[in-house]
Amino acid sequence: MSNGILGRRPVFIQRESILDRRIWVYYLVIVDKLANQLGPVLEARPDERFYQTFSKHVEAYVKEGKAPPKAIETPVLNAADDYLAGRDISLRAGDYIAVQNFVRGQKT
Amino acid sequence: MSFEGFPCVVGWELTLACNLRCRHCASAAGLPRKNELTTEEALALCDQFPPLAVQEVDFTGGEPLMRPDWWRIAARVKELGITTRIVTNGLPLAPSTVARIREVGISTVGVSLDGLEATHDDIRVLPGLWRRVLAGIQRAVDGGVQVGVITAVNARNLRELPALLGLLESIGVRHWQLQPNLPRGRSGEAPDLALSDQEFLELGAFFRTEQPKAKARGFDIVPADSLGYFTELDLPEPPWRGCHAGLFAVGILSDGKVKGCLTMPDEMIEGDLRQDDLWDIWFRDGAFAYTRQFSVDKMGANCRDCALAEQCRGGCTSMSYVCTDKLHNDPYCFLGIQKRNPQAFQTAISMAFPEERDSVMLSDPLPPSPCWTCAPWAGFAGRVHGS
Repeated sequence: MSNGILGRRPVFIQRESILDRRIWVYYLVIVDKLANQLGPVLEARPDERFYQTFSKHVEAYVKEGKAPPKAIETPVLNAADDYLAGRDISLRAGDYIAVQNFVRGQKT
Repeated sequence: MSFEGFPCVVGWELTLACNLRCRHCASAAGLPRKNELTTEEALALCDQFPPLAVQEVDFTGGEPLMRPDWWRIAARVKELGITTRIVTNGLPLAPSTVARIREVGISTVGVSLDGLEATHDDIRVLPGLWRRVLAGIQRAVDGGVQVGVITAVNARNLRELPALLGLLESIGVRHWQLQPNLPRGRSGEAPDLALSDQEFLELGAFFRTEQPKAKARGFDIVPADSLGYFTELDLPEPPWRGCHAGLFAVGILSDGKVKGCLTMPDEMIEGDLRQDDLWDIWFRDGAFAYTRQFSVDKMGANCRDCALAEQCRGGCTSMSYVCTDKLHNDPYCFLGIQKRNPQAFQTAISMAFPEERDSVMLSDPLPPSPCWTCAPWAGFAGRVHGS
């Protein structure tokens, strides 16, 4: 199933300040090389509602110039910028959270 | 600005039920919690992880393998593309269980081993357990499962660490976590297990000496969060930057309650998954305030005036709270011990950096260790290297 211009695997960039912590030592937690597995980019795997909702608003903005809802205005415009510039669409953590909160706040 | 981190690492207590009654158990495990999550609830919870960018789920307990549906939950998490690990006391590692662990794709099995035979069996209150655990480890290793060992270090087993290191390497283990005794749960009622300042530093000296050498041999020794910080007994990398509970780690109890870290006491519960989604608990305004809204003026007397307070944030939150009833006030910080007990620190330094010795000698050394290369573990009382 296509998700239009968003593609299937959006990523978001986690803040540097979180990433440089020592993360691999926990009480009763297995330790190995997790630290090496975490980079500045984490992959999130939101559900279909996320893809459909966000894709709908990005496409509406890009194709019809329709203003997105205020709560997700910044993420939609950022994604549109990426798209129009030919870049892979990536979301900052804050944008991703805003979109998720918007989607979760909508009645199914 | 709203919090923008994610719970990359989830510690999930699958059940508090346990088939052992270990003297040092900080969870005081034994009976299951009232109203633990059902299979359906647990499987539904798994589906909440991917949007939260969860990278790893570590199953603990109690004894997580006592939960009959553990493998269904682990398989579900794995299907979602998330790394899974499980911590066990080793007793349930029967051939069929090892096969199932491999089948569901668990990346690492962490097995608790708290010393040599007599010590382990005494702490875990079950004669013969040590040999059964080692047999389980061997089965897992032989079965192609990556095994890590976790040792809860206390006053009883501290001086067995060098021998334990040799044993673990000889049986194919490649990861070893050293977890200082946390005086909570049953451990809080076992004063003979408590580590003194000197013993805490000796543990640091052992780590500082042996970790680099072991790493060169392909064996990882990893200190728990409550071991450190900022002295010659620590490795410079990676630097300690404070407790990560609620920043990119979260703990889920078997009844659906949520904490920043499973070692924290119940008064630090942040939410209930039967009432709210993990997303809403994680991003709730004011959640996990002890780490997300940290400031130096909230630190306890042990740490408030430290020059490294801003970076360290008061060490291990659980150790601070359990031992002092205050947050950001870790009483076992090496730097703090150095200040209040410089002589003990100097002794530890001389252990960690002996001029002529090539391995750390703890203050009350054991007799010569068995040669693990010559003597299989099951008969370790046999030959003694060099004798």
